[in-house]
Amino acid sequence: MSRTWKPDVVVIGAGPAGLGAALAAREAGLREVVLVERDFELGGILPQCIHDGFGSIVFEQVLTGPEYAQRFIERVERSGIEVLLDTMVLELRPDRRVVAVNSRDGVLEMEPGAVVLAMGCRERTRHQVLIPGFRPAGVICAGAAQREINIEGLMPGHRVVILGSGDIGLIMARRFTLEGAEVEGVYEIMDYPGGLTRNLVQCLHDFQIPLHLSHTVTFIHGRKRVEAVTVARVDGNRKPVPGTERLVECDTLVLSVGLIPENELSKKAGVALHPVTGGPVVDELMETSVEGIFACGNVVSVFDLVDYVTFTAQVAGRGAAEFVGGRRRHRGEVPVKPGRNVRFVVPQRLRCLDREVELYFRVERPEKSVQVRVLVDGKPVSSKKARMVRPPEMVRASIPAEALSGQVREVVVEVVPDEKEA
Amino acid sequence: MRRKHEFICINCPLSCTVELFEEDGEVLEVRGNECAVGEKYAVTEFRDPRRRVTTTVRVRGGVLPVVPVATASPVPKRLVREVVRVLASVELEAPVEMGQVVMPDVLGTGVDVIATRPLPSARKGRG
Amino acid sequence: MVSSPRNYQPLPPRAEIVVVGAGVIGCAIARELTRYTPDVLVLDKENDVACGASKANNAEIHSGIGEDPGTLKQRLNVRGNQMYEEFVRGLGVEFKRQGLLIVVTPRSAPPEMLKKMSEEERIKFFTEVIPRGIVSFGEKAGIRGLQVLSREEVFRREPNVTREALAGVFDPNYGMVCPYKLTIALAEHAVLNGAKVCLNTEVTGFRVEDGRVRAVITNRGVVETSLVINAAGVFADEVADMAGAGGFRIHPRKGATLLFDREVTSEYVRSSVAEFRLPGMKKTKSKGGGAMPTVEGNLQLGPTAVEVEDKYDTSIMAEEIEEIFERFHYLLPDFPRDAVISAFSGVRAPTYEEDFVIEASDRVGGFVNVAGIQSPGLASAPAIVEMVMGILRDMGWRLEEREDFVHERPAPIKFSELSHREKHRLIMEDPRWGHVVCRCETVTEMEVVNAIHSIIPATDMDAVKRRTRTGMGRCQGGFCGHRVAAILARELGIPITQVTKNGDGSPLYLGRTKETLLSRGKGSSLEGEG
Repeated sequence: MSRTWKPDVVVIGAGPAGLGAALAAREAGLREVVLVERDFELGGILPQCIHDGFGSIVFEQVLTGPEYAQRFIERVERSGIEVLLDTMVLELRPDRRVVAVNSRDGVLEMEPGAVVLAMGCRERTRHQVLIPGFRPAGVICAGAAQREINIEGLMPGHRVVILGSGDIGLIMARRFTLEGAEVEGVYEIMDYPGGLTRNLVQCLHDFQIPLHLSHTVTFIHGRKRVEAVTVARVDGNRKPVPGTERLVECDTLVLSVGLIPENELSKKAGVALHPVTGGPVVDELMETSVEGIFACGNVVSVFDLVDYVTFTAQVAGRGAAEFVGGRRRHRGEVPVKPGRNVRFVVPQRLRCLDREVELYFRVERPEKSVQVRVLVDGKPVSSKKARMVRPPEMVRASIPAEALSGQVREVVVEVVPDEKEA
Repeated sequence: MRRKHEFICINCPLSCTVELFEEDGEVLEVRGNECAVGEKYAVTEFRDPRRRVTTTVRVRGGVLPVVPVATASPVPKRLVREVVRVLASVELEAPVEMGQVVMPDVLGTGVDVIATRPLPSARKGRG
Repeated sequence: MVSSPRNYQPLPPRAEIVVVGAGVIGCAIARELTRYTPDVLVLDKENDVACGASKANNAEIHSGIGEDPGTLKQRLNVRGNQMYEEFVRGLGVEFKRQGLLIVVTPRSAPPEMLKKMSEEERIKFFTEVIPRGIVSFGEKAGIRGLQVLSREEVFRREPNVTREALAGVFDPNYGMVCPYKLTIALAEHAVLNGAKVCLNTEVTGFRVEDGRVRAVITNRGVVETSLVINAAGVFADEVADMAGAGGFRIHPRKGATLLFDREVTSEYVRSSVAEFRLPGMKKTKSKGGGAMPTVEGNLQLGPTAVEVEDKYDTSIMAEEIEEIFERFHYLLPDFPRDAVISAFSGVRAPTYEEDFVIEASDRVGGFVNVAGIQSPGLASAPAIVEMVMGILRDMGWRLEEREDFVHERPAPIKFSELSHREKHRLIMEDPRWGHVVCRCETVTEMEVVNAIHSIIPATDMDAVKRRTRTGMGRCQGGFCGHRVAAILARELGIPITQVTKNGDGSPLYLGRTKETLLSRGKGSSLEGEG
């Protein structure tokens, strides 16, 4: 706690978002880039995602999570980025003052030129979805189970029920099975699966693990350790249908019931959050509502592909460099609004209006044969066809720089039926 | 005898359910797919389905007790469980290098199993 | 270093006084007894103190306004509330008086009663008759400082309360304490003064000779004694029967409470808030519960009241969750229902008379029952202790204050509450202070280690959690779970696979990876898919 350190940028979190942002900031010319990570190594969640399927866009190659992370880690290690491991950020203030703590340096105070938020997301727990029953050992979130098995080499259970068919839930169904556990089934409250088709096929069908759509867990049994769960069918309002209950014996309930952007520090800094994404409202540089504080990856909105996390990280890292270098200029304030069958769009606003912008969004409901269109003041400036859009899969669209050159009032992203097919 | 097999195409969100009809291993007809990718997928899944296998193996003296490994390329799907099983008895010595061959030519497939991350030796343990 | 994951303090062959049950009442009585003698033994069958209702109640220090006149409960509650500052002094436990806002709404009186009233009479009934009635009821019971509030004053105090509120009464006496931290502190204070706390020790019988208790028989051996205090909570009837000192029945009644993320809900209510219902309107035996801020600032809603058969039934039913949502949706229309981080349930220990049973047994000499202690037991605790001491005095027990009584129980250091300078200094002394293991609550490795080696050692995950708040934040242990388990394993000298959530039968992990495959792989080796 000696002197206050004044680096160019502090990146909080060294998962794919933080790694990408730190590298981009460094490559954009910033000299002192500090990457703060609370875990004992770099990579965030990637080292535990030992399955493959990462990087098909960024590297045009399918990698495992650790392999994807390693490509960035090697570059970070050669880049001169200052890495602080086992370091927890305790405070972030609106003036970008950062207070962190670790065993070696004690309390560290930093006043960086810019901050990049890259804390990722956390898992929704049983209480957030309010599953009735007892509170025994053996109720575990899918990501935590993944860490225990793949990093710690520990088995959380032998007879497993999985609630939620998000990708981590499906991946863990396979992982438990391969380690010799019995996965009784995956239960999904919605009437469609939450994960990617690839995972449905390769994680469930390959191993004959049943997927029960429109089902949920209505009670957890076992005072000390899970002994069973009651499952039941749900109606159109997601309420259990009386008489459809079934007791399933198991020693473990794995929950894959959603991810929430991890924004405790963002809130401390006064960063405005978006009610739908749960993450900061950002512009095309991934700059938040607080000047000089940028955000990228799952802290902004939970992405389905790590490639998109990396892309937003690169934008944020370069944005931070522009800001520190005094080159970031706002020309206006244009909202990017969700139109037909669009739940939200990231970024939510444009302020620089001087470059091509990539937009990421999710649809509200599955739809076949559509056109994805971006309208600037009502005029389509880009459109592409898609055979199918589904809520679990994020969609990308872009606005060409020239479309933003004049006086622009608003940008709308919409998904409309493809006229030629209709 | 003519037999029907169903595959869900994983190549795009449309997730076509593709029906493949065959007799004695001869593909007769593929339908239900919206595009050519679906047909190719179904035929491959029928003739020679392959998967890249990922699991962990134990490590002595590393910063972590296990290291993730993967087959360098996909192996026949029917061997997935067996690959994981033979790897269960492997125990490496730290440090482990990224890409280090953990088991060459696993189950005679001609495919090596490699480590997918480096794993340093434990010095003072993790912080 | 301990060689077993379980708490096994050696069982002494004899003790002057044995307290059965290490809940808040048992530990408070034990602490008080150590003012006079160090030879006090507390027994509990669980792996930690405060494992029954003391860990799962809504932490409120009631004033007594909710109790029926003439009951022992009301008398001890009013008195206990007034004694609280003195009770917690020196324990290093936070206690604050946030007060209770009793809100009068159109639902406060049954419709039948209102039918014959004119509009004017109705307004007067809600804004004057009811609030004044509450105040005079309270004053008769000896509760001081009650204030009648107008509708506007209600909103000024609690802006989130329903706009349907018509009037209110503010009771400044209501307080909050963390019930398990209080229990732990009392137990530790007792141990500092010579008492022994033996956990994992279940009372299975008593030796009674010539109408007097001579010994306590446990699963771990026999302890000779001539004085037993039965503070066994929901099991108090069974324990009393073992000695032939019973005559009352405990019928378990559970109560569920929802706890909210403090990031979202701090300041959501500043005091406890409850909706008034005229007596006789309540559907349940709960005092109706309320919304309240915990000492840590989380909003808490509840509890419910459900009669159960099993004294171990701490489950939460879907109906209870709905009931809480329904009830508080009215009182606090826009409470943040998405911000629930935890739900818990505790089992109350009422008798059929619904009053405390605090008396020396008239059948067995040297046996004192402190039973039927349900809400407001926590609030009444200081007065219960006082009453028990009076009973002992009447029994002829010599009460001579020790000169060597230690008055302070040092509170564990909470890293998150220190200044930067203090944090830095500690880390420079021991690097374990700089290793944050629980991100939501900012708990360091050193705090976990301290809890494991504290006076009443924490030897399972829940015990560490109660002392340090690891896993109590919004991720509920998702991040810190295995980190805390690893520290427990290291400090206790056990494999991590023996770490439990809350004692025997609750392992966190069921082995290591590869074990199942290796044990199975020897047989069939060419199994295909499926």
